Amino acid sequence: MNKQAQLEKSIKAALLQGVETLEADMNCLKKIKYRINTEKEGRKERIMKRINDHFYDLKSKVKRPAVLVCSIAVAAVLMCTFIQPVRVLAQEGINKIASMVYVVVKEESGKYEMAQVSAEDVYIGYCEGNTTVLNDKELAKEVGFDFNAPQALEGGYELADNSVIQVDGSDKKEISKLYRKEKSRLVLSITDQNYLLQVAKENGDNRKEVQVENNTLYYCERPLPVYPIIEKNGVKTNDVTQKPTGIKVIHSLTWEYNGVYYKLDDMGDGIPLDELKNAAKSVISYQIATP
Amino acid sequence: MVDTGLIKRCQQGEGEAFDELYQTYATKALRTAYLLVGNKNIAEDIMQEAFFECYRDIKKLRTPELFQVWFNRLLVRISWRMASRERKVIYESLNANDMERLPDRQDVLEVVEANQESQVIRQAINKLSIPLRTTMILYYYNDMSVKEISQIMNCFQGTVKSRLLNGRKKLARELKSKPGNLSIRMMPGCLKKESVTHE
Repeated sequence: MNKQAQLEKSIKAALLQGVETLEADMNCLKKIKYRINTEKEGRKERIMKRINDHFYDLKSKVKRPAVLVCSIAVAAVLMCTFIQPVRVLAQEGINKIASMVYVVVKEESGKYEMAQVSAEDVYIGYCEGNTTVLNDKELAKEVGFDFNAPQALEGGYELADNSVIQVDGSDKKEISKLYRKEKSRLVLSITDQNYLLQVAKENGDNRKEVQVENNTLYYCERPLPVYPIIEKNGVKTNDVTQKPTGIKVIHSLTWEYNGVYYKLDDMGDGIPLDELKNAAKSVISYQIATP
Repeated sequence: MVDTGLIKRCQQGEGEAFDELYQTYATKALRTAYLLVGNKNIAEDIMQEAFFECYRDIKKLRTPELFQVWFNRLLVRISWRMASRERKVIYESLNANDMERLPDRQDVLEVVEANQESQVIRQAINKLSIPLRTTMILYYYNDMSVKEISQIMNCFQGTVKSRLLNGRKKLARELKSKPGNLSIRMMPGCLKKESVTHE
């Protein structure tokens, strides 16, 4: 063996000898696993906090959580109700059958991200949307309150469809009117329950007040996960157990008129605020002109 | 040889696979960390942190065959980070002359120091700068190639070779200064570049 090889052999031997009695024990593995679980719980808690902050803290403020949390679910249902005009579409109580569901949370950076959480940790509302051929008078009778809504909105939007939304856990119904201008859509939601206003005032992102025709309108943005749609027992359903194919951002204006709450939103079509304001203005003008 | 099946199972989040991964690599990781920082408690912390980060990030590893390089990069970076945080402690631990005065009398080095030549070599390695020491340990203890070390330390292969050469030079100089020892101090040919063998 030459001298350099001997040196290298000595280095190797010295290093080996220096550590030969050291053994990693299984207690370390337990500590690592404990930390992993703690981190997981911590992450879950952070996600849940964001979810609660973002969607559900109205639960503690309002008597009818089932109605309120469905504000988001209603939007998801509407997306498909008007696409499948003759079908019922429901967001089922998935928590009864699935262990994990996808929700959208707002990251600290302000970006909306999908997160998979246990179904037990979120309240998944059930609501059902049906398109209808009833006129406004018949609709008012159906839902139990009077309302005023025009056949067209400023900006060239024409009424395309009506829908009645029934929220599980509530005997109240909500009306949705779909207005179309080519590929752009606006949906006017109408209810006699104040949750629309509470969401707009307290839960939405980028909230601000807008004055239209001496009325205060509340602008806000909310994320809308686009869940894959599955058909189950002949009913089209948003499958919240599957990863959403995207996240839309709904821009909306909400206001009260004569004890009825109206919300005009763009269903995530990215309609500019000015156009949304003009459309809302035409609704309010119609309401003022039609006592 | 890396068991790529095991790595893939870990990437899929299989708990038992992670246990197996720990059993396979933990002791080597602990020993490497100990050689790098010279303190058993800190080495354990490093090893735990490395496995935690491994569990957290293993899904990001695109090539399971490169697990050892990837894992050792984690280990080395954590060691450097903790070494800089715990510099004082490590300095005391590595100073073999002070060892008897250290409070941690269970320290492994105290127990196993039977061979004087090995002790002197280890002391000499401990005195090397962190990049030189890391390179020497990865090469001579972990049997990693120059290419793998360059990937772990994010440097050129030439840099690894020169660090090995410099490490051996400094080692020889240090050994020479020790009175009365060792056979290798008389080795004039031990610093040739071609002594780098496992590339």
